[in-house]
Amino acid sequence: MAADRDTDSALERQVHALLRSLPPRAAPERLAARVLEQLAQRAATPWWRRQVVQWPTPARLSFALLALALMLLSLAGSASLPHVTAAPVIAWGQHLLAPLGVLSRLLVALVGLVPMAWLEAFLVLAVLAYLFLFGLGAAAYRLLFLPR
Amino acid sequence: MRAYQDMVFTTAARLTGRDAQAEDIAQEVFLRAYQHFEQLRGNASAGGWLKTVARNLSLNYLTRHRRRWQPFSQLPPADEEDASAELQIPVPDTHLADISLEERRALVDDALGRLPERQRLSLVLYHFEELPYDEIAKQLGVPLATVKSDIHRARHALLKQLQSRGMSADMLEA
Repeated sequence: MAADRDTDSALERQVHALLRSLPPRAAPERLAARVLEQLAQRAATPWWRRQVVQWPTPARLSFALLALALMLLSLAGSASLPHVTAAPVIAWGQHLLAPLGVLSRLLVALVGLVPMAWLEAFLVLAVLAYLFLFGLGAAAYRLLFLPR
Repeated sequence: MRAYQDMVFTTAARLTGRDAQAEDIAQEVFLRAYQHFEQLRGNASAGGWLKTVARNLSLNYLTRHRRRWQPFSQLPPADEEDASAELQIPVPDTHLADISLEERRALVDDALGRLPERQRLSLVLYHFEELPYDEIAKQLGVPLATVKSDIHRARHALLKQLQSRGMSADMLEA
């Protein structure tokens, strides 16, 4: 046990010394040129096409003030609208739901006409179709997306 | 930039295992450094800052792109990968009795690249980045015991690969 620990510790020291003694790899020659090119491209981008945090301070301040003004304007606008009472809205909702009640009663009546065996067969088929599609999806995921 | 570009590129290359991605990451590191130029100029910790950004961007890249459908915590256990890793050890065609530091670096980098991904990452983060075990576990999202085991296996696999290419124990310690 102690011998194993000593061996592991020696191995750790050996690997550490080896890895730390290695010089860094030389970066590709074109790296500096790529960085400078990107910087030049960014510098050439007009300020209004950059991220808001990179805008000049006066522009950012103006933008914030404009946003605030728009918010206040919309609040003032909504406050000045004529008051709407809730009763017509509820009555409108009840009108909308009435056909749904008729539909549900019709559905229950239709289900009552269908023999029970048919309903059971339909349920079994639905479950089988679900399992088949689930399996198909899982197989496609494993074959097409899962890294090997 | 010239003073740090090799360090930044090497950090990214060892973590990602891909030169093209390492170059993209190095570029992004320096673009970010430019945004913080005033704070970094003449700062003694600039190198550390660049290294940390390179490391974080590399780990982000690995999490997002390389294993898009499989986070680190769900990578196959090292046991399963060991078999294939051992099969990949090439038979040495020459005995490298006397090699330069640069040649040794190339050999070690190549051997590192042949390790299973999680083992390589843990080993690089521990020995090159000098992160403690618990920090590595946090970064990779794997249990602490797994990190220790991966690093242990990686050391053995690395030495095995290097010895198969003719590097003796003396040379490894040199």
